[in-house]
Amino acid sequence: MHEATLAANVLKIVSRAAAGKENRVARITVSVGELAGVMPAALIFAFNALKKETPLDRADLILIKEPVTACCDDCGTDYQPGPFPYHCPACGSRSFRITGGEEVRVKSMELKKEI
Amino acid sequence: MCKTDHNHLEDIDLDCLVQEEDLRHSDRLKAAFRAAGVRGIGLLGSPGSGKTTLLEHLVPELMKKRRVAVIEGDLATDNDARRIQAAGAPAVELNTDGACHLDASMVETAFAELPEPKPELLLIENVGNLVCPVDFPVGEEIRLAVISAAEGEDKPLKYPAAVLRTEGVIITKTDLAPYVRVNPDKMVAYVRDMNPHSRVFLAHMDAAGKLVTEAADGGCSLEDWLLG
Repeated sequence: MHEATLAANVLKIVSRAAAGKENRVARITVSVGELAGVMPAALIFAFNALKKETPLDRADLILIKEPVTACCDDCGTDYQPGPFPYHCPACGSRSFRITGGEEVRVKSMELKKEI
Repeated sequence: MCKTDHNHLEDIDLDCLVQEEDLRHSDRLKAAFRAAGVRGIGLLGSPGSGKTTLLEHLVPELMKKRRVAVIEGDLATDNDARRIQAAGAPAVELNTDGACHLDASMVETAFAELPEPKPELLLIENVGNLVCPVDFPVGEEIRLAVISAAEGEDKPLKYPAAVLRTEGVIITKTDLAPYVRVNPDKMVAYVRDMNPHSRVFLAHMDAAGKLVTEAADGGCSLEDWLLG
């Protein structure tokens, strides 16, 4: 449900970054962490609904998945865990901190010459 | 960092958190709370998980130690704020008119509406929802996910963000566990697997209708943890 808020934020961030540029935004790449609790289809749906009648109305939203990463509390190994329970591949410890896969980030925008 | 390719395309790296503004607002609010001697505690969980009941019973206990106030979030009605007021603490209700979560600006407004003297302990009950509020911190020091045994044993696994991105989990209604064929110990074990740093508590009502809470790891009581 909060995908609409996130889509509105994406539009705000990109509009600000694209302000004053001659070229139009053709593509926006957003990374979605696997643990971010975001439904990709809902985010794209909300984005396409909200972009109408804005300068970004011809921009496509491309989502890329950001995998979960964890750091072992006991030996410091960084790893990409499988399903729960997480195990450190180096020492087997089940104590960890999540270091990635929780965020939604606007990675980049691609501008195209206005035709 | 810009580059132009032969098709007259320009790629611009932004690498910007989509929720940068929300997070910054929450950080500002947290700093303002700290400066004013206010400790914010966030509660989130499904509708019916027992958040308000938990607060109704905790508030009188916490008020023995600190000045307490509550901000309640719901789509509609001020029922919950009235329940908290009846339990003895000032409470402000935020109606989101359909929105699935509170945000920092709403909480900032509600805090201003709380009567003077302002609380030392501010409990913020989010809209009933185990998904969206996780993404919108509202100036809290710690967040507590409330999950009832009646919701099903594997609820923590199915809603990982609520467990991974909060500091504590309270499993409520454990007295109902045998009726809904749930083993609360298994729920505790799931939470432990998912977030080894989470503080886990169990809660139920005794025969006299009194709230009983217990730390699953035998550590400090829920009240002491909330008081900080």
